[in-house]
Amino acid sequence: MTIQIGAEPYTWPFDGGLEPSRTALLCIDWQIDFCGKGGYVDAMGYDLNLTRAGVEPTRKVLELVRHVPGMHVIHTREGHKADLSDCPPNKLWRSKQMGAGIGDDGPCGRILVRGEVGWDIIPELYPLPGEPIIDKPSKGAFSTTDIDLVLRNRGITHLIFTGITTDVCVHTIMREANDLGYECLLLEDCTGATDYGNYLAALKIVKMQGGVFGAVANSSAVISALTPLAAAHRA
Amino acid sequence: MADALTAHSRPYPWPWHGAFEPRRTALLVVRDGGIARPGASTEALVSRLVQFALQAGVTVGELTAQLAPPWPDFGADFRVVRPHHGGFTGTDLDFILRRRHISELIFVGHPFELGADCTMRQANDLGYECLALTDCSTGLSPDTLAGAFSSIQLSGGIFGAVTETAAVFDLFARANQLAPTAGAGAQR
Repeated sequence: MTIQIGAEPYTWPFDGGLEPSRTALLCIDWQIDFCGKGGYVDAMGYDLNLTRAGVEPTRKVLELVRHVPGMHVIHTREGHKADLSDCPPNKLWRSKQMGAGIGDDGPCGRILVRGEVGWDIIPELYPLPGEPIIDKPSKGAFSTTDIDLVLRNRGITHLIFTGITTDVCVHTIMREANDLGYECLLLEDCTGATDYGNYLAALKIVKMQGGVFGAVANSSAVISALTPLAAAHRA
Repeated sequence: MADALTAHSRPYPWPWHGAFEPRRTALLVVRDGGIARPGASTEALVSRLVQFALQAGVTVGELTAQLAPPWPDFGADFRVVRPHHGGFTGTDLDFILRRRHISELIFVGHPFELGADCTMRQANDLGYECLALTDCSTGLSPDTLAGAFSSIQLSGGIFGAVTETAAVFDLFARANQLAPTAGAGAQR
């Protein structure tokens, strides 16, 4: 059975059928600091409804993928060491200009610091034991972490993206992965940005030039494509 | 900071530390294939910017896509041929910049949304202080170009800052007490 996902601008993946053992669902930065009350994004005054919009669709896809034999789930989490030695000075300065300095005390502990309440992943999408978590001090992941090694060790060549925010961390990681030859799919309803116009522009850029950074699909297309695999396993 | 040497830019005066130094700065002109190729007036503006940067002691680098058609040679200090969209992927760009002790980067992109945006995101993650120039870059479409520049400015400048070319002419001139006529005149 060939598994293909209806996507734009092409049916995904480009190279025939989806192979679960070579495919990972990437859950990017679903942290309290980016979509939870009292977190970093909330402290900067952005509308949490925009970054939370993808939580429920992502939860459904995640639940399904966990029942597809051999398919991988990888999580990422942005945060810094307690002494902020891995935080570039300009990043620290900019956050302080916004009145929500990285490392400052907030309602959910020190902002964007590893181990704090706000830094952790929201309960709805919390990783299960065995699902790798990539901790990154950056927007992207490939130049500052071991994610490429983790993906290669598991034989992963295809990535399905969920997470926040669309135009920042999700786009940066998708651009990096695409450059390195990973075949990428972004789920439009499993992501969100702090600005709706930027969310739309980010989706559009992916689809330009025949899919310059990969393809874009709705989670319903992934769910209908993967459900037979999960059902066969459950039966 | 009373004696800050910065450009007028959004969302903050660039560079963040308030002490612009030409010798620690590179102007990077990032070019892709034949798409969104700049018109004659934009090309002329970029050319004047490059000449003024070189005169001011700013390093100029050209980052060209491997498959890009030939571009006019504008006398850059170095040229990197990019095998990918991101200029740091599979190239020695980081080494070239570090060897010259460059910590600040000014980006022009043709189009901005592809090679320039990918490279600026990588640079920002690596700690470089980045500025994007709106009016001498080109876009794939007006809404994607506007989205790219808008994203940079969120969260206090998540990838750096943006401004127009005139502000950079003005900054270079003030840094060197040069007559800004070459640049300012070109803007009007």
